[in-house]
Amino acid sequence: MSDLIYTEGLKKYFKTPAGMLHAVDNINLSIPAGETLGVVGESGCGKSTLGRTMLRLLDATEGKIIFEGKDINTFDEKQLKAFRRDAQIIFQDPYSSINPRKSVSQIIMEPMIVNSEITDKKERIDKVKELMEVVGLAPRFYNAYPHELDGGRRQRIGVARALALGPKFIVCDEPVSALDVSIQAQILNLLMDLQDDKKLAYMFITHDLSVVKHISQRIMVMYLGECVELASTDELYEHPMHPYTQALLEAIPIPELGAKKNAGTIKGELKSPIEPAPGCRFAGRCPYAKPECTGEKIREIQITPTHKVACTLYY
Amino acid sequence: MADNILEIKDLYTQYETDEDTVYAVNGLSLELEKGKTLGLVGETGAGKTTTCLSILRLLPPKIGFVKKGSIMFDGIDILKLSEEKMRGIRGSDISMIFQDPMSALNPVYTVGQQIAEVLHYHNSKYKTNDEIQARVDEMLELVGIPASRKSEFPHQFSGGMKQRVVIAMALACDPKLLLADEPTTALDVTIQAQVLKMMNDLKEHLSTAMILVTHDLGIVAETCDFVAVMYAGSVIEKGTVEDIFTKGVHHPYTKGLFDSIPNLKVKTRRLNPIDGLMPDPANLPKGCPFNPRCPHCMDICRQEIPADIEKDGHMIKCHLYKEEDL
Repeated sequence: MSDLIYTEGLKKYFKTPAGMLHAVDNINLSIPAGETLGVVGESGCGKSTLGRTMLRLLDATEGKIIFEGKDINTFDEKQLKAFRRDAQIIFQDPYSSINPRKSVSQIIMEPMIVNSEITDKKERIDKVKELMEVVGLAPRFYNAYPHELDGGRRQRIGVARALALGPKFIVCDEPVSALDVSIQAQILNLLMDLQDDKKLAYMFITHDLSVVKHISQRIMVMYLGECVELASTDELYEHPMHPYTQALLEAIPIPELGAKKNAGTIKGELKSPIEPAPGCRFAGRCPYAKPECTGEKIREIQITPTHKVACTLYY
Repeated sequence: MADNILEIKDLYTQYETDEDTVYAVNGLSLELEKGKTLGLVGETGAGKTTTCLSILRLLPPKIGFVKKGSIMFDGIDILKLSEEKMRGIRGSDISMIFQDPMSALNPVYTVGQQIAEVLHYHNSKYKTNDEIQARVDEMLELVGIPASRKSEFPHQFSGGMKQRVVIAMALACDPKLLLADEPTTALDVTIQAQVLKMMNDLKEHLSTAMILVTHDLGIVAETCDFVAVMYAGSVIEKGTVEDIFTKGVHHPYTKGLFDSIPNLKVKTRRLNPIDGLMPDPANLPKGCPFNPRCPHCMDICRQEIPADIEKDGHMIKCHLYKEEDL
């Protein structure tokens, strides 16, 4: 396998008073170096949990996460610390993910100190300045505090910090959803330039289908912890196969006149992920639901080498 | 014009604090026909919410002030009304849907009680308790919630359902004007599509005029009749949806907004965002407020605020154009 990171039957369950919450259920994905996998789904479908489990910020319940040939679930503390240099995360909310009492330079420098990456103080300062330039933060913000900066600039701090140790893999957990469109476009351009430059692999978690199309080579659609469809971006947008993917794509408002489609919006809302019944979890909202959709586990069908879908319509 | 439900002329709203004065709305003019929907578009800090709060006179006391201008609602200047009369209008003739349904509802009252509260305050048509309860049931059914759930508390509803409750509350007194401040931003796309479809149906059914505040141009294309694009407290372009979405001539900011959205149909490797940031409303640049970010900036832009250039209802506030260009 030439993939930088891949998973096999990855599961993450949480214990709740009402039973097991299936946040991530049997996910098989892979990301080669220099590529972006988009992970799409509505709130509560487990995409953030998946991102955190991939970095072992949460311990997986079952399954493997293979990074450069080694299963990160078996890492001891020392190996894990080394893995942290290679795998980083950019959080959703640039307002709450950085420490308000530290200056911009301290925030960006912190990972280098924690990992004793660069011991020489002067070198560290140079590295911080270099990172600030890479992400487009003006040098005058070197000693500024987060409250002095707007959301777009704060998100740039988050990007700089994630880059501080030269990672190979970054989980981007809704990095632009808290930002205005013009700022969002600036950050997306930055992420894509960095990818071209440093051959980074991204797992890009978002609920915005137009953003994910723009940045990803392949996209995974999640519904209540399960992967319902995984395909290359072009295939997914041209031939969405799973009814949920189709509904998601139809639901996006298009900024163009006459694009109005009076397509049927899907009814109902997400069910609880606690102790879900076997079978398709989307069946309750699906316009094509049949008796065989419930009761049995739904198999993933490989349609083309780069397109798989979990739906009884394609059995 | 008699058929305008709302006419705002030359509105200036400011927030005054000890440190500085924030010029949130600067010379805003808008009009809205009865039963039509106006999309108010712009980025954070453009003054969209302040405009809504000015109309409802809900600006934070002792800080927010309307300095100049008039807001004519159905022929009355609401800026001149007494607070008592204003309270009669708020919630009955003009009502508002707030952005975040999680915080717009009171967690310790049932949703039925919260809808009934509006009717109690403005009990023109529904007097007895039975009539009020019947109306509550009717409103809940209208937004697609079974009336049997009216004795439940907000935490028992999901986000999309809560937003429906808020909409039911806002529509309970048959308002003539509905201000919807980003009503679907906090919702997921499939739920957003459900809520937008419902609002569209209700609007046709009840012929309520609506101002829809949003930053999503997709939503505007699907739901609005007219569009006003705001930047730094003033409207820099307005017209019908056709003017904004199909005509070739636009304010550079409007164009920048469109270029910033990743297009689902066309493949582009790089987006073309507008450089820089929205100016600080406490410290606006001289001349056109967009001039530091504008790719077509000229000398005059740094000196003078451009006049409104208008033709057949399509208005652009920019030095680039003359009337015959539109």
